[in-house]
Amino acid sequence: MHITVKISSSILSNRQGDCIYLAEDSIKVEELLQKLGIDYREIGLVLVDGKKVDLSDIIYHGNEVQILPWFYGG
Amino acid sequence: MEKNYGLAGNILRVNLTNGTIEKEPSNPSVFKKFIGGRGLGAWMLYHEVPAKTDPLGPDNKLIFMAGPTEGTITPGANKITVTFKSPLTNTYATSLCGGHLGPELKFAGYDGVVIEGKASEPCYLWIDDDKVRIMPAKHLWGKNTHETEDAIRKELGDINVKVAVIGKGGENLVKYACIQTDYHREFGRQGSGAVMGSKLLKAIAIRGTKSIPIAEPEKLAQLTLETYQILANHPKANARKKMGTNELVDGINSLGFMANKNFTEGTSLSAANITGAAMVRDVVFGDVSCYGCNIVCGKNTQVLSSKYGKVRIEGPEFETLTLLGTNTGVYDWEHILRATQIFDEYGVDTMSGGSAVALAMECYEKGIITDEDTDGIKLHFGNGEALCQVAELIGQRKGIGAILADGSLAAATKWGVPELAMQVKGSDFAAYDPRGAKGMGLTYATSPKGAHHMIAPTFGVEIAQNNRFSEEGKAALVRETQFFMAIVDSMALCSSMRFALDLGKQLQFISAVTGWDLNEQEAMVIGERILNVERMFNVREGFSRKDDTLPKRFLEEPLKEGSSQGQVVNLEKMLNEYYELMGWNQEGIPTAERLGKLGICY
Ligand code: SF4
Repeated sequence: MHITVKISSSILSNRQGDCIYLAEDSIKVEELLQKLGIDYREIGLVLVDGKKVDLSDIIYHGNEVQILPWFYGG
Repeated sequence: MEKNYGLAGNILRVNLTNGTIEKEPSNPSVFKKFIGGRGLGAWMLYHEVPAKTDPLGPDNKLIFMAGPTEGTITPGANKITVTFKSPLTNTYATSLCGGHLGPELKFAGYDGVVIEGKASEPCYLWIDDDKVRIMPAKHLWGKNTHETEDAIRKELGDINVKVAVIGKGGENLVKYACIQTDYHREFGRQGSGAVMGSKLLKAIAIRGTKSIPIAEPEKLAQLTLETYQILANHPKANARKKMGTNELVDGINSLGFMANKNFTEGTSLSAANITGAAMVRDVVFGDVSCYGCNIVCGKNTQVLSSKYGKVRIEGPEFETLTLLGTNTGVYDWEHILRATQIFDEYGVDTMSGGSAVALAMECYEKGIITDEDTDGIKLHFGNGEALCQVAELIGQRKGIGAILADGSLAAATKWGVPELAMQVKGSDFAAYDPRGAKGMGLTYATSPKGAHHMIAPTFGVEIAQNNRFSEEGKAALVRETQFFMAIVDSMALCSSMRFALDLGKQLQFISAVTGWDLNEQEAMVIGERILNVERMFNVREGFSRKDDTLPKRFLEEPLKEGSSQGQVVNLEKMLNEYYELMGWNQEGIPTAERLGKLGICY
């Protein structure tokens, strides 16, 4: 059972690229970030299967999670 | 006499037709009404360049204008604007450039420079504090941008002189030619370089040694220190420090609204080759900053061995990377860096240049143009070598380049397919596909200078609020962001300072530098005034609602894949609401009543 996590390359907490998180069954978004060592202040948006979620939402195995930064125009 | 804190004191007026050079005192009450930079430039252009002026004729003007905080220690206060009537769009145009030119102009004692008329032969302007001269430049005509900067510094015997130049693109009147400074910083987009070329003005060189009076130096020092600390700990500023604006690639591509193949696609797996992290890994070898900035987003990059030999440039930043790269289907550093280098050396805008090539590629793939039109160049999406060949031809105005040098709309119209040009009012889109952030559709449609993302970059808020696919409430968001950005631009601040400075903080800087006491409401009225003056210029040129539109692709063709799949823009609904909020009639014309409230009139 696993959760696929895609971490945007502009998240700097030394965790760029994609990874598989092995989940027991489910996990809160906030806990997942902690376990991956990602500073929540860098996060602008977390998408689960393409939909925006909050830090307190639960992710289940089989979900695809995208962790994206804050966006400002450039 | 009251001291004009923050201002250098004079505006320089140079008439190239008769060779006159005059200094006019800066009027603080006009600055207070428009802040400076973009705002004041718009006001002057409206009054000084009459309707239907030929953009490439002697009556057009180049109005370079700094802001009141520029050249002080205010973080990121280094953007100088040039305002002019655009040869690409025939609208009002303003372009901002970072680096060191603006601060140097203030140090020389000037808040702005107005260039009028047309010289009888190539010349450059040499501003050495109070000594201002028009110098011969026949020997510089025909040189590329970098050679020209070097030659002028050598000639003046000072490597620290700041120089703004045009390349052969400006000389050849490529309608989106830029003015370039610090080798790689551009006044890009709407063709300021072509206007400068039409005046036979090859360069402006500046040396300044004066200081700028500050109302409250200690308060300014304290604010600056606090801001530097916020930026040093800000994750977004740190991402930019590491990857420049290319930190955006991964996210915008994942959300499925990044320009790909002339906007026929919103995402690509191949973009993984050119993310910010990939750039750091593969090509970055150093950092470059503008005056007074601790973000340092400029990246020196190189490909050591390629079919073009060693290619070494600054950049590409996000818009160049996407419009020259992903939008032409080219996803490798070798060709993207080389194409950027070619456009930089000719002094041609990389965004419009990339868009023009992307249009030609789509036309070639659809059989609308053939080998006969391209002189045998196989202009398929993804052909990096063809991208570089055509970039060169645009700078030279030769072959297919002569057609593309007039802009994507002119080229597409000539080929009978105007709807394939991804532009508004003749100016090409930035990388954000409006189908993936609907507010951006309204931003592009109502921008006074044609499709331009920085007039109101709303997509960040739209993503954060999880309503990027909705048109609801976007008119108000775009309107407020437009006003806010008009203030940022008029202060001469780099837009990245938004990470640390909200409007309140920006006003504290203005107050510390100038002593002006502006509250947020008053500042937003200034923003609105600026937007209305820009609109008045365009209305006088005959622009109205019919021109506030988007290409059919964004209105009718849903994106086929990715996270923005199925989306199109419902523009009319947002436009109705926007005009109403702006106090304009439904044709998009500002009413006399609204203008009166803003203290301006036709
Ligand atoms: S963030 Fe980049 S563009 Fe802005 S002032 Fe700093 S170096 Fe210049």
